[in-house]
Amino acid sequence: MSELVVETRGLRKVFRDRGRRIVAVDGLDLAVERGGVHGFLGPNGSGKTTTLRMLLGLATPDAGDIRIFGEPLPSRLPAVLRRVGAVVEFPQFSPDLSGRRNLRLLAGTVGLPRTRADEVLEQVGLTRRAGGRVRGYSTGMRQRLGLAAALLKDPDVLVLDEPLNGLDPAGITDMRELLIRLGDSGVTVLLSSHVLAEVQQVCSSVSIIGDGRLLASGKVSDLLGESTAYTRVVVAHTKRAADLLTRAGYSVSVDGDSLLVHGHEHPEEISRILAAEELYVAELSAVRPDLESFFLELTGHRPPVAHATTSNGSGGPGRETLGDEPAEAGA
Amino acid sequence: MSRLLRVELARYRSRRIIALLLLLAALLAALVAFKSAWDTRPITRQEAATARANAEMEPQNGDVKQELDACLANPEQYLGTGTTAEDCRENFTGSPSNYLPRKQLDLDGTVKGNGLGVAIAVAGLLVIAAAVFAGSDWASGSIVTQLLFEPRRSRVWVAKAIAVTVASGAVALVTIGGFWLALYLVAADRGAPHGSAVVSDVGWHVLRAVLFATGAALGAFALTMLFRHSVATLALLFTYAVGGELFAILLPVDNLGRWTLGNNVYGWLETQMRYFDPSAPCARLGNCNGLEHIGHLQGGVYLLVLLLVAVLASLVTFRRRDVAAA
Repeated sequence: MSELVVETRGLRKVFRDRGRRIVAVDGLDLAVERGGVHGFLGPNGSGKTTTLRMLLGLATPDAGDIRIFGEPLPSRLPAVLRRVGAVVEFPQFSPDLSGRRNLRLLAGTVGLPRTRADEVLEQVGLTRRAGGRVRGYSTGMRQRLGLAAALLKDPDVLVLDEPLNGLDPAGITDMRELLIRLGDSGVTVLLSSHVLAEVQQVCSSVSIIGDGRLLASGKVSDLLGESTAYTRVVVAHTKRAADLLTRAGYSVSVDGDSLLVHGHEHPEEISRILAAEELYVAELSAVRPDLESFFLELTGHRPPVAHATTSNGSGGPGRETLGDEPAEAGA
Repeated sequence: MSRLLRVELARYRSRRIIALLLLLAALLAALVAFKSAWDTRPITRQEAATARANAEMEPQNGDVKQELDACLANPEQYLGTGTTAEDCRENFTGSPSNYLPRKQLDLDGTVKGNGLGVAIAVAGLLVIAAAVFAGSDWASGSIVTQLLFEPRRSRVWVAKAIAVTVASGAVALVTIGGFWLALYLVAADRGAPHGSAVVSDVGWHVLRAVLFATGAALGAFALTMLFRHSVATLALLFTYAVGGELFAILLPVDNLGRWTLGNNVYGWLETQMRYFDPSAPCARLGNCNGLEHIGHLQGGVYLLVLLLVAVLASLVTFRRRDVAAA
């Protein structure tokens, strides 16, 4: 079993706002294994940032345990943070100082040489603008500077909160490559982001939370394997085609002018069944599961595609569902 | 700790607004020193001759002559019991010094005048600088980034506090000390009184003024770390200073003036601070002037207690409260 680098058990945080108690994190169990990029996902207000702040000692948990590198927090926080680089919420620096000056002051705090600031500036591609005052930096430049600050300590764990916010497409590509490179080099990157397409490209594993609780966690491939692939079939006479496929044992739903057939193992079989009845397929494509769909389903923001059947009658909006039993492909 | 302190001193030095405030303090002290020297510049021969002429002409003035005659006729009735004709002459015959356009430089007198003003102005600017120093960390959210590098909050707080204290103390010493050094050199050059007694008085005043300015800056830093906002600190200090005076005047509480910020600051800085207590029993009866006295010790203890309360509240709160970005 891989070593756990970040681990929380029963983590809980309650805020009080004008007499109201707001449970931001509610018994969160989080486990991040060493190495690779781990996505930490959740809708707005789900408790991601609060969790990260507790991991970094910026907020105190009301209950639960935190361990980083097996060390209990907050008692071992100073020792732990020597090996952790982080950007929480948005990179925050003294706006009247230059990016380089900010980094040099931070480096000085932990006894690093001044040259280390130049190294990380080079690493994030900010050397040319490092002499300008942070006040004049764009959002993307601040993100790069934040990442540079997080890299200063040459950390074993990198905690990044929405590092892709404000980056242009080239910046996103650079950041993606850098994160993958860091993950491959043995650094454990804990990444919170809303850009799920990017997360899917970068992360080897994810934890998804909602309302302060863990909803799912594991390798991306394993999680998406649990969600179903579909075959989109564009054909004339969708109603008749749907009946034929349902009789053949497929779980089918009508999605506008096309059909969504559960599974994508035997597209040729679907084509053959329909062609036998002189229904010729105009388009046949795989609808592959993605992290975004999985995330939205899990967090209750999108009804599951074709999970509803005629027997329970709970199809999605504008979607007629047919077939009450998901059938093995090729039946 | 020394590493952190160096970083915080660099952070303090790097802020332009703070540099401007410190420069302003130095300019202000220099300007007041120049004005004090200019306003007491030596009397020219022409000015002395004019003064002598005016003094000699005074007895010729009809009104003055009439007053003098009346006084000489019965000094005790005119000036009070025990007075003599000589007192009448002293009172009604002008001395040339009364006609001089300005006074000689008086270092002792300056302690209560411009010296006091410089001490309070420098302290005020250092208070703003300290509040800006701590406040900008919170306003920009950079305190979060700093705590990701040094999570031991007590050390962070103490390093910042020492940086503020050292920097403020140095600036106060340079500005206030410079002000007095300049005036001392001027006094020595002009042959004005600058003996050891005067130097001792001024030296103690400089020490108290530097301590006051440094303590005020530390207090402002502590309050800003407590409130996490420089404006809140300045507003509180303003309300406490002005509101305290208003309360002292309006509330029918005995000797409330003893507890106002202003009186205690003057008590600490001035040679002898006296204030009117309208609630004193004799003042109510109208048979005394109701003056009370606050000495250096009383004023100093009052200010020290305020400082300790602010420092402790700030440090404990900073250690315990969650820190969020701006």
